[in-house]
Amino acid sequence: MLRIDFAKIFPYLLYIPLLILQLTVIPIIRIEGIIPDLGIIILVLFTLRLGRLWGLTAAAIFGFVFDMVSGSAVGATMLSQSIAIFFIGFFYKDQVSERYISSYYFVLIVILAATINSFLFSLIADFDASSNLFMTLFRQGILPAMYTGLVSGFVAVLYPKRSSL
Amino acid sequence: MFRFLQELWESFKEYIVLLTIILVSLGLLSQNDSSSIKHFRTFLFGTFAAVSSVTSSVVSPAGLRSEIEYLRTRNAELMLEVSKLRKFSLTHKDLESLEKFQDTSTYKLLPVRIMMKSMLNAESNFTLNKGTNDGIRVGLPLITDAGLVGVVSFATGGYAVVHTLKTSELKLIVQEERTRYQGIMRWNGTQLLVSNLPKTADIRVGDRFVTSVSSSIMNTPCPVGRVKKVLNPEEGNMYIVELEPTANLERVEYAFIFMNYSTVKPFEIH
Repeated sequence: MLRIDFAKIFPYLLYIPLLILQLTVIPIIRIEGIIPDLGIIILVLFTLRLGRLWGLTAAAIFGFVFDMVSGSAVGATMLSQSIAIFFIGFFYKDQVSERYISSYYFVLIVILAATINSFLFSLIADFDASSNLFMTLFRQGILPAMYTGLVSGFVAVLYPKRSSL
Repeated sequence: MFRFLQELWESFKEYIVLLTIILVSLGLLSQNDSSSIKHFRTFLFGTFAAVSSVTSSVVSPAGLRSEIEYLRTRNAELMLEVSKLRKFSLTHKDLESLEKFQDTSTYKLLPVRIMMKSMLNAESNFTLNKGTNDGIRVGLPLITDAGLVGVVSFATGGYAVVHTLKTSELKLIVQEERTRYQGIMRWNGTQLLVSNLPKTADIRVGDRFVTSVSSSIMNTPCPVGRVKKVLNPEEGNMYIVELEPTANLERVEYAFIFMNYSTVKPFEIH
């Protein structure tokens, strides 16, 4: 008999309202044109809970949907997000990594994921041989990632603590 | 054989999945302009836009919308008037007679509301609350009272997506208003640049660039940006300058489609 694991389905149900929020409400809280990426926070959160394989599949699907509805080049977010989540998968350890979520480690992991994602996207979609790679990394990678990390702090605070690290 | 494949999958499944995703993504990137992708995108985007329009209308201030729309329309018309007058003031010596100048204040502007803004990932795309049912077509420019915002990249019956100036896919022929030199404007991920300007051009910080008469997007000069910095004053044969967009792309909520129908393709130099 086919068993449906609700824990693995739930993030997909959560993503659509989150995407609407990302495209309609989140631009209101921009700082100098920089906005937090809620999608990457959710992906990191559930990758730490459900594992790298789940994270990779979800990153690809979420990225594809985002590209479709946002007007980006189809496949760009899909690729950058999947590679970012692949690296985040190294932090996954069964029964252990979930503890990261309610600690400051989560913020650091989100910043890492968001930096990789944004930087790779700008390389894929906006590649310009004459542009300064360091500036691209800083402006398009690190700055938005810091803001995303700041927002992910709320998730870390609100996430129920099971045991300390 | 089956067991071997099973062991291979068990040992390297994450790498196999990643490799598959990379290949699929690259395949999709190369097929962005294919009709099947466009059809699927139109369907998915139309459905999503219909759902999100509810949230969008709640977020936007409901009252005084019609009056705001009227005032913004008027502002945009005046901006176009001012641009045209500036151009004429610069070129009046070349004109045989100012009598030929016709007042074209009846620009056909379609007021639109920006429902969604995709500002992640170094690019900025907007979703509008009107689509092909209202006459919007691919290639039409989106403007505000301050200047050009972007160009419609695809549209469904009720909604449309605009590639803003901060999108690498939009390349535009622009003209420096004072010296009349033309260049190609593009977004490099971090800066709005104008290249192909000869070193003989006297480009100064603060100079204004408008859409060129050679541009297939707008047959009226529309402000695009002001010179923020000349990036290579000492190097190369051509200037590369950084522009500051005249329209505030981050704050814009209401804008107008300039309805001069053209048959341009969205991802070429306009």
